[in-house]
Amino acid sequence: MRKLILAVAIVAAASARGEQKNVQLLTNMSDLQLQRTMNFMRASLGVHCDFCHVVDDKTGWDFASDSKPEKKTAREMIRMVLDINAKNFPGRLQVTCHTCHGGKIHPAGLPELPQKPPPFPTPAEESRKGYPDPKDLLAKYVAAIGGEPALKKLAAPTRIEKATREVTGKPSPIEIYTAGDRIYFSTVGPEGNKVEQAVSGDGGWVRNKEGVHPLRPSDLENIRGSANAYAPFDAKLPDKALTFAKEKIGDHDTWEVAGQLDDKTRERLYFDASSGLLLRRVITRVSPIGRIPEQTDYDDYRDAGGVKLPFSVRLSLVDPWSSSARTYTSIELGAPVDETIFEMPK
Amino acid sequence: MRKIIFVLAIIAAVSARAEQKNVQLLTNLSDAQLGLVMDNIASSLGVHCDFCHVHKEGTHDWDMASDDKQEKKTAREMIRMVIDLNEKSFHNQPRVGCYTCHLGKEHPSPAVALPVPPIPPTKSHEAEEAERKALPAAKDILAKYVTALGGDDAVKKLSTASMTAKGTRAGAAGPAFPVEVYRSGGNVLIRTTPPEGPAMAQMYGTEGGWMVGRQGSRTLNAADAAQGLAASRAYDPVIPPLPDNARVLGKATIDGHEAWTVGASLPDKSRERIWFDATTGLAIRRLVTITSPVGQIPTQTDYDDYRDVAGVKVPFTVRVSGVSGGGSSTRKYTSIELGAPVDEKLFAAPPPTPPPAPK
Repeated sequence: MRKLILAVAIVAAASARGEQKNVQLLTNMSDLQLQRTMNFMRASLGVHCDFCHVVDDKTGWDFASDSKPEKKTAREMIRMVLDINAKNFPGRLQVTCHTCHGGKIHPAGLPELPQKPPPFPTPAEESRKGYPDPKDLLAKYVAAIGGEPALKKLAAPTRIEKATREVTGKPSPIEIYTAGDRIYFSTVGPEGNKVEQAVSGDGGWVRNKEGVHPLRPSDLENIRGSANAYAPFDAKLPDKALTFAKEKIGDHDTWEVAGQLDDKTRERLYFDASSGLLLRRVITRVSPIGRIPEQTDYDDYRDAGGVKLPFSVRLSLVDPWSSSARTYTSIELGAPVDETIFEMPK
Repeated sequence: MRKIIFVLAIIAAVSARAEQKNVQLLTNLSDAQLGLVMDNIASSLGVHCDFCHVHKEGTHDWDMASDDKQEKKTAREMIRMVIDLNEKSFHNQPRVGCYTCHLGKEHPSPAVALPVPPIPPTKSHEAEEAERKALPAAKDILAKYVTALGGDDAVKKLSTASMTAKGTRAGAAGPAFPVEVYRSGGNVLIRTTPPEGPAMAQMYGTEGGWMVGRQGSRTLNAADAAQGLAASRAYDPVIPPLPDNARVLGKATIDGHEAWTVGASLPDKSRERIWFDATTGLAIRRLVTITSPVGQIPTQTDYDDYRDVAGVKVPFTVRVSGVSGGGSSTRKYTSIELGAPVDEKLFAAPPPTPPPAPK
């Protein structure tokens, strides 16, 4: 029963957000941005929406209500975070909900005891001198996926992908047809019914058991966002790319390259130090209370018509209900796509 | 070599503190308090003093007053920020300290780690209230502890009888070496014999005391002796009664043992939490926190290896962990006597060290 309430709650949440009632501090945000920001707070405290928001078994969610003291505290804390960053860290999002809460309702107040003696003298910070140049890492990546011919194939505007998609532990088959900025998805809904979605330009539609409907702006934003996150890496470095650190991902040593996509969006790329392949991409976007991350993990690289592509891709968001994974069975680059599938059925 | 420099650095630090030069924000603190606050800042970031303070490498020269290092300037800004924050957002309650954000690291982590873990269902206020009501009463936990110690007579012996304890002491690093503790009346004497250098001793009495160290012997005034005595109490067992405000906060697992957490506020505004083994009833950990302008400062005592001494259960392994390396060590006693007379001559001050000859 609880599970059903939660599922309904999420749908209710999405539509309530569409209205954005009684939002006092986190203003001037799109529905998706607000939803991600809410989930950033939620993940920072490790709680569910009902920690702050009112939910009733019969009437559902009342996101606008201020009757829970936790919501009032949350608002004070948002104001505090905005203040701290403005006063102490001009222009930087240094302090976020997560900085103190670290995934817990109550921040840790006390140093953990017993502690290890600190190193003395204090070691100098590791110099980035001797780190490989980002351009060389990219060149190694390009060589690893098949060189210049592979890049040409990747640049093809059309793509047909078939996969098993997993959201919150439930697998379903999915087919994706891409032609330029037009994308068509076909999957199977939770009740075994076929669900189709397509986006094209500024519009889009959905066909499910209730018929055909235009997509709401928040859904469009969501679909575009996840399509971008799943799209194969375009082999382009972000602006001001810098090899930033050595990081371990699983058993793999990687080089972390960081840069910016625009003044509000940063990208980090993690290249396998031995194979050269891209193992992770993290994009962070500015919100008033912290940079919100979106992480894509790549695994199981296989040949897809002369290009080595990851056949296992996992997208992790602060919103666990939108996080998902795909296991591809086939990826066809440059395959002809029937243009009529993007058109809204009558 | 490095170890010696480290130890000397601490001594140098202590004497520099006595001067308290160029202290701008953390004022009105005794030397010992300031030292502890500094240690708390260092341990909150997991760094040594030289992260902020100027130190000539390979020497024992510290210039604690110098503002040459950018890190020290930043530290001052951060102290101001923390003081401000608690004042404005938490009604002057010391809610935010250095550790709250830094969590033992130089750089705090503002980013949510992905993938996020599954979300637990939120407990209702009613459920939380019901859980609180189901907790046992602090007085019952304490009564079980008193019984486990050996009853009221045992408690009385533990708190007032003369004591001679012998064993070894080991710091956070380095070898274990002999320690002897004598207690009689209001006097406490702690004698240690480090492997390198001369034997050391501290005597804390009600009207003063004395200490013998590397630099010879010196007398302590009543305030210094009281401070030393307070610090040495971290090694004492938990002695009933607890303050009236003590209450059971919940259940926890300490080193594999289920334990009841009892919290209390002490008259000096510090707070303590004690964990009592749910099975044996014995105290297995005590955590005392004192408030500073930049956060709560903890001292933790872990008790183990309780043995019977003349009808009293006494912990033979006592580990004290604090934010300063000097204040952390493990004592393993091999013998403890309660009630046997202690030779009062032991507490008499040794002859003072003559002043160094002029060069």
